[in-house]
Order: sequence, then structure tokens, then C-alpha cells
Amino acid sequence: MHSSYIISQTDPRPLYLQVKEQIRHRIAVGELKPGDEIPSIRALAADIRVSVITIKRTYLELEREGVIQTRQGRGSFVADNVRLGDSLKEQELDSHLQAAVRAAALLNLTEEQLAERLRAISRDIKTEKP
Amino acid sequence: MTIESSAQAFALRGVGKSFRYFKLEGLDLSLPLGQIMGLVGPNGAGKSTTIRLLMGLLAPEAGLIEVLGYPVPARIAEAKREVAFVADDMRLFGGATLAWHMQFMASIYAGWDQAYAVLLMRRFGLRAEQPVRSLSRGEHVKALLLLALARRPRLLILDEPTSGLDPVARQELLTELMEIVRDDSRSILFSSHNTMDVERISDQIAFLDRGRLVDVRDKETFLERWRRFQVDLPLECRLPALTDIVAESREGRLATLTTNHFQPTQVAAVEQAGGRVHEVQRMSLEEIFVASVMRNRGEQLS
Amino acid sequence: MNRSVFWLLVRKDLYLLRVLSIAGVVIGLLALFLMFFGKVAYAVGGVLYLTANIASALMLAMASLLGERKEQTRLFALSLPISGQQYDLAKLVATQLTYFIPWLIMTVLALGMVALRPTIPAGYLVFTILLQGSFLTLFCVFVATLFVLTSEFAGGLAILVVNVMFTLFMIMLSQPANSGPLNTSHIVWTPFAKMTLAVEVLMTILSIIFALIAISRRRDHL
Repeated sequence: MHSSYIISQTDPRPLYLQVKEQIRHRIAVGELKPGDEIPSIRALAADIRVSVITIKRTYLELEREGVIQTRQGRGSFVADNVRLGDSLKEQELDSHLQAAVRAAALLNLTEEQLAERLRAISRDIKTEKP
Repeated sequence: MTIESSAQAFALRGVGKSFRYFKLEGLDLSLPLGQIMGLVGPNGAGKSTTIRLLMGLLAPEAGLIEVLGYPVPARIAEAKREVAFVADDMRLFGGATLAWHMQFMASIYAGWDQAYAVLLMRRFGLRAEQPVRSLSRGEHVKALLLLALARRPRLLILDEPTSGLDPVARQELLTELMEIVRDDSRSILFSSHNTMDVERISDQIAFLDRGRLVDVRDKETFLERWRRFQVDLPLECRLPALTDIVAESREGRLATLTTNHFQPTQVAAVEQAGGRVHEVQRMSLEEIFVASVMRNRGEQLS
Repeated sequence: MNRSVFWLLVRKDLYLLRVLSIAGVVIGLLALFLMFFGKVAYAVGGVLYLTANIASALMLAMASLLGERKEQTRLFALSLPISGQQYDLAKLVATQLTYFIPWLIMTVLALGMVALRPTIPAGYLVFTILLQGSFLTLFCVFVATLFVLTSEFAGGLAILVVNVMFTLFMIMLSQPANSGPLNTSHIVWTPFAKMTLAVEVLMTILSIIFALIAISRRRDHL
């Protein structure tokens, strides 16, 4: 039984993060709805062939973030009032921006020059979209 | 359920064994039930010796060994009812067929699952009437694994299980191994040079080198604690003395620091010394392993 | 529970070595058969008989005891639910049985032939007993040697020793003082014959004891 989770070991992101993002993605597109049951830790570990400890960590963090709930003896479910943790998405954005700022500093760019580059790239991406 | 109840798949305490050119010393290693442990080490590190000690094939000169709660080698025969062992230098009886071996195993082990054995036979592309002598190396390993898996053992011990397996067979083996963890009372110990596989499915990882246990902890902790810093440093600046730095190298304005216990304070310390940490990299298990062994060998010399 | 695995291993060895066992009996029978067709055939048959018996003894022992080590099936057998000692014991029992059964058949047939053929003096019964006994003794000594020293080199050395011992035995047997009584129509147990038989029995028992001691002392099974 192979699940449709795509976990790659050549992806620079750690395994637990990949699993986490795949679950969040499923919730975001409605594949998993609030209250839906998700596989037990061991079942998911066997399905996607990733160690139990990694799935444990994933579920722990998702629970802490309010994305899933585990009821003792009943299994794990998507949280009823799931917020996909916008704050976490913002944190992710911030870390990307920090990297950009540091890279710009290496090139001795000013803030305005960095902002201009950002606008240019944003335009390019928009025009690339089919 | 056995009479012996134990929360551990196996335990080695203070185990020692010496040979003419090799010595295994002070080995403390254990695995809770329901987990997978990957044993990583260079050739000659003592992985096979450790496994053979667990299987009662070698008698320890010091220390205690327990497998599924049974003392070894005192009650190894009982333990082996629930332990399956496959090694890459193991062979089946050449004068018989795979079917003969399946019948042989079925008559010995109560837990033999014939339906599963047949399924595995199909998945591994083997035929029951095939004489063992006619099997290629890879097919032979697959046959050994089939016979071990179909017993549904409580503990599966594998010594280099993927050596000689083609990539497809390797993936099939990983799938079958992970099927075992659905049951939280079943455990696996495997030694492998394939660090990617170890990194993927292990819960616990142990590093062995030259007869000693270099490091053992759960996988996530390993991967979270080890980092490599790429630092840009003006020529006149010196790298600060930091704790938990395992390796350090410098080439002009570029320096690389390897740490086995990452803390953000380390980054701050480097920047205070005038350097700029332009990248903090995670390390693969293989890189962690090599760095651990190099450090261990360095310490052994000094 | 472990008893059944023990006997399963013994049966497995008997099964895997069946070709050698049967071949030994077949060639031995052929040799005996040959001995009835004139003087030359008698000599040829005689030599073939001796060779077949010694060769099958050595080959069976080596195939049984060293074969598994060489073919790495030993590790597989040791992964079964038995202790290392039980494995060794099963090996010893299987090796003995795999030779003993054909040996018994041959002995009965040979003795039967001597007893029933009028052209053969009854005295030859003693000779047959001593000869067959020598085969069994040498086999047991060879097996014990391989249990105590487990290398292939030891095997080669043991083969040499066994051949020398057998040759000496035959030389002694062919001394006129010893071979004379054999040609009579009476069954005569000379002091030499009695002593030879006693030595054979003693050496057989001692070698089995030595093998058992070696088994009980072994702690590493690889």
C-alpha cells in the first residue's frame, strides 16, 4: 500500500518537515477536512516508508500548531477549528527575507536597491504565469 | 506473549570480545520494543561481531546480553524462536529448492505465514521450484529475506541486507521492513552501508568504529544537533573557541565549522568574532557518520 | 520443542547426503559382485571394495562436516532455534547415521556372502568382521578429528593418517601368522583377531567421546 505522499531524500528539507507540509497542503486544498481522521503514526510511517520517530515528531508539531488533534485511544484527526498557522507561514517568509537581506549585504546593495530587485522579480514571476 | 516480559528488543551491557587482530570493548547498546535501529560503521568496525554476539554465535568475554528478555547465550534457542536473522554471507542449502526451504521453515516456526510467503515470492520474482543452486546472488538474498519475513518474527536482525540487491528489490525490502513497524511489539536491527536507507527508516542509530560505540541516539536528535557553518572571515580575524565544535577548517577568508550540538549562540559567537555565518547547513547521516568517526579516531590517537 | 528442530536438522543432512551414501553402497555391492568372476576380477573387486568403503567414509565425513562451513549454509542452520551445541550434536549424529546405515547394510551383505558361499572358507567371517570394523573405526576417528580441528587442512592431514592406519592394518592382516587361520573352515578367533577387534571397539568409542567433549567445550560457533 503506497500512499500518495511524495517524500524525497534529495530534497534539502528534513523528512519531518516534508511530511508536515504535505499534510498541511492536503488540508489547504480540502483533501482533508476538519474532523477527518488521519492515519495513526505507525500506519502512516509504514505507508510512506519513513521512520516512526519522524512521523511522531511531525504529529507532535502539528498538534502543537493546532492543525491536528490526537484523542487517546481514538486516533488522530484534523482539528475542527484548524488554522493553517498563518503565523508560521509568515515566519517562513521572514526567514526567506532574512536570507535575501544577508545576500544583498554581501553585494553591498542598499535597501532601496533590494526593494527594486524584489519588485522586478515579482513582475517577472507574474508574467511567467500561464 | 512469552513468559518473559521485557520492554526491550535486545540489550548489550558492557560487552567485550577479543580476537587476534580486533577487540570489541565496553559495548552498551539496547533497543526498545517496536523500534528500528540502524547500525552504521566502516568494515571491520564490529557490526557483524555485535550481531553474532546477539545471536549467540559468539560467546562474550565480558558483559551481559539479552534478546527479547532471554539471556544469551544461555537461552538463545528459545529466543531464536522469535528472532529471524539474515546475513549477507549466509546461504541456503544448495541441494534443495525454495519450496523445500519454505516447508522446512513452516515445520519449525509456529508463526509461519504461508500466504505472505507466497506473496513475497511473487513480489521478489522467485519461483518455488527453483533449486537454490541456480539462484543468483541477489535472488539468494531475496530468498533468505522471504524466509525470514514470512515467519513474522518479533525481532528481525539483518546484517547488510541490501548488499547484492538491485534498486527495485531494495525498495521492496524497505516496504516490507516498514510493514513490520505497524505492530508496535515488533522490532528491527539492521546494519548497512546504505546510509540513505538507514536515515530514512531508523528510529535509533548507532555508530561503530574499531570495536567501540562512537555514538548512539535517536535519528531526529542526530539530524537536529549536527550542523555545518560556512563562515566568511576577514584574514586578520580568528575563529572563536567554541564548545561542541567537532571539526574546523579554514582556507583564507572561508572557514567551515562542524558542530555536533547546534546552538544559535554559536552563530552569535562567530559573528562577534568578526565573521559572517552565511550558511548553516544540515548534514546528511553519512556526513554525520564520517565526521563522528574522524573525531573518534582523532581522539584515539591523542 | 527443540527436539524437533534437532531431528529436523539430522533428517536434513541425511536427505542432502543421500547421494553419497547410496553411491557407497552401490559401488561396494558392485565390487563384491565382481569378486566372483575369476582371479583378476577377484583382485580388482577386492581393491574396489576397499577403496569404495574408505573413500565413501572420508567423503561423507568431509561433505557433512566441512561442506556447510565452506558453503556458508552453516550460518543459516545456526539461525534456527537451537543452541550452538545442539547444532553440533545434530551434525555428529547425522554424520554417524549417514555412514552407519550403509555400513550396516554392507556388513550384513558381506557376512551373508561369506556364510552362504561354499567356496569361501568360514574363517573369512573373522576377516570380514575385522575389515568392516576397521572401516567404521577409521570413519569415527576421522569424524572426531574434524570435530576437534575444524579446518580443511586438518581434514587433509586426517585423511593421510587414516590411510596410513588402514594400510598398516592390511599389512598386519596379511602376515602369514595372521592370515593363516582365515583360510580354514573353522571360525578361529586368534589372539591377534581378538586384540584387533578390541582395539577397533575401543577407538570407535573413544573417538565418539572425544567428539562429544569437543562439542561441549565449544563456545564460539563461527
